[in-house]
Amino acid sequence: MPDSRTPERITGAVHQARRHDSAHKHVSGEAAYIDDLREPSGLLHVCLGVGGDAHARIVGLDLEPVRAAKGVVAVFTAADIPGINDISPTHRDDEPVFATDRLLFAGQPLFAVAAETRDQARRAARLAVVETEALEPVVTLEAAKAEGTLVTEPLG
Amino acid sequence: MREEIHFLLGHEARVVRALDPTMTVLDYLRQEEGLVGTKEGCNEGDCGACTVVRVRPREGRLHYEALNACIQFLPTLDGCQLLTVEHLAGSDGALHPVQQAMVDCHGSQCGFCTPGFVMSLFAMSRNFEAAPSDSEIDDALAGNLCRCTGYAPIARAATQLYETDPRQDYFTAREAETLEALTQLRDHVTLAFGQGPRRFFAPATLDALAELLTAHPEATIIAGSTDVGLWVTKALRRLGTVVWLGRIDELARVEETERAIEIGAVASYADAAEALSRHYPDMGEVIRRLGSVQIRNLGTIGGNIANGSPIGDSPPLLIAAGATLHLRQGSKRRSLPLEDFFLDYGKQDRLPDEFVEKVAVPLPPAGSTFRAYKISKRFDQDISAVLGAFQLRLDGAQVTEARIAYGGMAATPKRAAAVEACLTGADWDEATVERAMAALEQDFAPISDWRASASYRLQVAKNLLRRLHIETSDPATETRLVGDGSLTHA
Repeated sequence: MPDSRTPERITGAVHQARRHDSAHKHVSGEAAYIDDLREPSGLLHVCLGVGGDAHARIVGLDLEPVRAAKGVVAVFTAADIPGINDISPTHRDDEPVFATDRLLFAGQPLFAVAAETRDQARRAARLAVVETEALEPVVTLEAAKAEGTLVTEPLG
Repeated sequence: MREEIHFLLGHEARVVRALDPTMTVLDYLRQEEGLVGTKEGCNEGDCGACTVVRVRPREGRLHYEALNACIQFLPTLDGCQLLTVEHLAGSDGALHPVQQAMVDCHGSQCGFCTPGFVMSLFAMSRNFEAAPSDSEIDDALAGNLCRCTGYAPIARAATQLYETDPRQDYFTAREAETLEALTQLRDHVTLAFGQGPRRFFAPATLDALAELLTAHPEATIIAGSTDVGLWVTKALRRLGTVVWLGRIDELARVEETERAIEIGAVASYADAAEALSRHYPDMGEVIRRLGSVQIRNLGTIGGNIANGSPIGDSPPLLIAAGATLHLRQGSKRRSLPLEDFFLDYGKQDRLPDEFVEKVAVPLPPAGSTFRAYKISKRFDQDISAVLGAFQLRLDGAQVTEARIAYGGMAATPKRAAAVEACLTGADWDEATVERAMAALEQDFAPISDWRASASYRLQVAKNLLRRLHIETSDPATETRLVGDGSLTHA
C-alpha cells in the first residue's frame, strides 16, 4: 500500500526521460564547438610546447629556434604570466600553467607559441631545445610514501 | 597522367587539384569544405571522433566502410563517395534512423564524439542486414571513444535503430544513381596529384606501379596509411614522392585456391578476415581485436608486412601458418618464406623499387592445430605486448611438426627455433611443455618498454605454450576471457 503522502510517480522533470536539448544538433553535426567556429581574419593559432620526460629537472630551455620559426608571432613562458603561474581548479597553486624547474609528467606544458597558421604553430612548438636531468618517476603509492612526495599539501 | 582527383562529397561531384597532397581528409572537410561536424580528437586513428564513411562499388552494390578521416590523405578519395555526419539527415531536415535512435536513447552528452558514433552506426546499419548481436555492436563501436555519456545508451541506440529497417532511406533510394556516378569516375589513368617534389601518385594497374617505382625508387609506398598517416599528423613529416596502391584492383584481391589464401598487398584486414577466419579461426579472433572497424577497413596485411614493425600482428600469424611472400620489381618477381623477409629492426629484404604483391597463406594441413594469442593491455584496439602464433601437427601423442612465431619478443617478428626443435618429435605432454618453456629463453631476449617489461614478455611468452597445451589437451578448461569461447574447441 503506497504511502498516501507520496505520489507513485513524481511529476515534473524528475524521473522522466528528457531528451538532451542539443541532441538533434549533436547527431547531425550542427552543434558548434569552439574549433568549429569560423575564424576571424588575422586569428593566431597557439600550440603548447611540452616536455618529454616523466620526471626531470629542467636545466635549460632555449626558445630562440621557436621564435625564429616561420610565422611565429609570440612565445610565452611562466615568466610572461602577470599573476600566479597556476591553473589548478582548487586554488591550491599546485598545478603550474607552465613548468619552471621540474617536469612532473610526460607532456607537461613548458611554453606556448602563437603563429599565423595552425601548422606553423605546431611545427614551431617542436623546435625548443629542452635540457633536462632525468629523475626517477614516482609511479607507485609506495614510492610516493617513501619519498614523501605528495600531489598537494594535505587539506587538514 | 591525371592531375586532379574526382569524388562525390555526399551526392555532389568534386574535382580537386591544387592542395597539399598529404592534406588529411579531416583537414580537407573542416578547412576547405567548412564541414565541421567531423571532429578532430586524437588525430591518430584511435578515438573515432573523425569517423566518416567511404562508399565504393563492389559486386554491383554500394559498399560502405567507416574509416578515420584524420589519417587518410585527400587523394585517396579518388573515385569514391564520401559521407559525413552532415549528409545523413534528409533534405527536409528529418533525422536519419541512426540519428533518431541516438536522440531517443540519450546517446549524447557533450556531443563531441557523437558524429563519429553516428557514422559508425550508419556504416554498421549498411553492413548488418538483421540487428547485430551485442558483441557485434561492441565490435562495431570499439573504434569510438566516449568520455561522458557512457556506452550503454549508445549500444541501446544501435539495437533500437533496427526496430524499423534503417536501410529504407535516402541512400538506398539513390543507390542506382550513385553507382552510376561512381562508375563514371573510374578510369585506368595514373593519378599524379600535387606539384614539384611533393607528388602523390596513384597508378591504376600493376604495370604502371612497377614503372613508377622504377622511376621513383625513393617514393614512400602507402596502402591504408594507418601508420604513414601518423608520420604526417604526429611527426609532422613532409613526405616527398608518395605512391598509393589503393586504385590497383589486382592488389585488392583475396583469392582462395585449392592450396592457399592469396591476399593482395592492398586488401584490407576487413577484406581478408572472412577467408582467414574460416580456415584459421584464431587469426579471425586476432584480427577482430586488431585496431577497430575503421582501422581494419583501411589497414592492410601487405602494409603490416612491408612496414616491418616488430609488433605488427599479422606477421607472426602468417609465419606460423607457413606463408610465402611475393615481391615484384619492374617485371621481375620473386618469392620467399615470410620469416626471411624480416632481416633486422626496421630492415626488410626489399629493394627500394621493389613492392609486396601478395602473401600466400597455405590452407591448414590435415590434422594440424592453429592457435594465436594476442597479449595487450586492452582487449580491443591496442598494440600487442606479445603475440604468439602456433601451428602444431600431432600424430597421436607425438608432435610431428611445430611452427611457432612471436611478435613483440625481438627486433623482428621471429620464429622460435629452439622451441620448435624441442617440441618436434616429442610427446605433447606437460614435461615437454616445461622443456619448451625453458628453451624459449634461447630464442628470445626481449626488451622493456612502455607496453611490457622484458621479464613480463618472457614469462607470458612461455605461459602461452602452456595455454596452448591446456587448450589442445583439455578443451573444457576455460582459457579465454573475451571473444567467442568456442574458439578453444576449434
